[in-house]
Amino acid sequence: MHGWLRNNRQQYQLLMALSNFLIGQGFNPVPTSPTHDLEFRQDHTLAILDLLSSFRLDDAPWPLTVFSTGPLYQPRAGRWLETIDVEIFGFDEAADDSRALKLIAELVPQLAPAGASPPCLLVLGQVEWLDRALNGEGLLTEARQTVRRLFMEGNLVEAERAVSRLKPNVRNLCVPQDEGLFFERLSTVLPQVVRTNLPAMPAGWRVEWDLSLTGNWPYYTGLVFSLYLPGIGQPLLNGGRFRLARAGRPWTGVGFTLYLEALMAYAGIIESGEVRHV
Amino acid sequence: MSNRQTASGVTVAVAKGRILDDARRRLEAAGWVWPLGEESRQLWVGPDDTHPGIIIARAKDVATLVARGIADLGIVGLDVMRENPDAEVLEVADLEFAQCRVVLAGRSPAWPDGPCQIATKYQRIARQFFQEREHPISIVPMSGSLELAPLIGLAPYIVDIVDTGRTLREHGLVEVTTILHSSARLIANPSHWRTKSEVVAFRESLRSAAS
Repeated sequence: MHGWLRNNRQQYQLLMALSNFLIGQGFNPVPTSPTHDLEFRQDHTLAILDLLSSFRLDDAPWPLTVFSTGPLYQPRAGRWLETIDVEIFGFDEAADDSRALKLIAELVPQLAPAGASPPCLLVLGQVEWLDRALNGEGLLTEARQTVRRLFMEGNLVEAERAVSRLKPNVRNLCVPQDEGLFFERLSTVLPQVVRTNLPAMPAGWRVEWDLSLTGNWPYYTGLVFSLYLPGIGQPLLNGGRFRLARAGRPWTGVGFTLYLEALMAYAGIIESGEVRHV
Repeated sequence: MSNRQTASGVTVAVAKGRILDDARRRLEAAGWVWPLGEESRQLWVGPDDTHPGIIIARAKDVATLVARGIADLGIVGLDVMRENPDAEVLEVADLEFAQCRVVLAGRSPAWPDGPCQIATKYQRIARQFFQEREHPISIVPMSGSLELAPLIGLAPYIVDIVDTGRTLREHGLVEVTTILHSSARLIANPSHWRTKSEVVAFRESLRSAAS
């Protein structure tokens, strides 16, 4: 029992550390409910927007920066995952995307064991660029949506079949690669795209671009990203830029979900399924 | 990278049943030792220099083991993946063995005339197939001996997996249409796929062994 109690305590401490960090950065907690209309919550973003859309927003401080804590239900696995969801709602897409990535680069290393710098992998995709690249190849809307859906569902077998008919310079954007090579290749496909200036990432982190990363949700419209730690079978976080309408109100923003179980492994609290004291 | 290097540190969950023998042959063709004896009841062995780690699991459980990161990779039929879709795994290769089809069958080859009952263990696949065709059905859930359903009056049609079609013929049933062509899929944990080069190398070696 001691280990179980300690595990719960450490997860709670992690939750508090993340929450306090976000509050310190000017983010406001939003109390969403884990159930709604007899359905379990699978996504914080919509739950947050349902609440925010009920306000007139005359006095809202833009960009609106909020977070929501609590479990998300995974219907296939039949389990709940403890998470923190962070959202930046605003109108300057480039600045807000950069702020989200900068926040990740500051927030995650704070959880590392003392003196350690776990080597994370940040993978970035861009669903709008994927769509435009496919459009440039003459794919009609339905075919473009099919390719994106296949990537989103993780069906790389069918997705690779679909993109195998494309020109190599488009196809080559759909594999992981470093930033320099990616933008060199992208410039031949979408010359009008301005190279994204990423904020500095922590020492030891690797950054890869890959247009086959399309995020977990169909509502993403631009940048998408996932952060991984080698050896951990779950991402530390997933996120992306979106455009949504709730209660007749349009919302644009960028957000990400932090997975506490994976972050506990990152923090050295869980190792090979065993809880150890930190 | 040699096979010995790619195998170390990789664990593969393999579905019991029709997938298992072909999976063993494919791994051996790729140059590894199959670490479990013919008559062995052992369900797990860790990786070493001569072979990847192997977990033998029920087909429906393979995706769970991969999604949770217990196994880096899994080998399971496409029919199982379509019946139990899991957004937390990647399908990274069609291994092209264990080929079979999921079919609609009945006592005559005629398409159902009006609403009908379908006996099946592939409830999701059957529902989706008929929904796409806007044909009303009700499902009779069964887990085995489906061929009996039309003969004993339980349901006039079945949706089941066929290899040669012999079992259907022996029960006086005929195929109405093919719903899904299935074969073994290699699935991967998304995090391990992106962070462990051995996992990608393993896929390439299995593909090479096929050719």
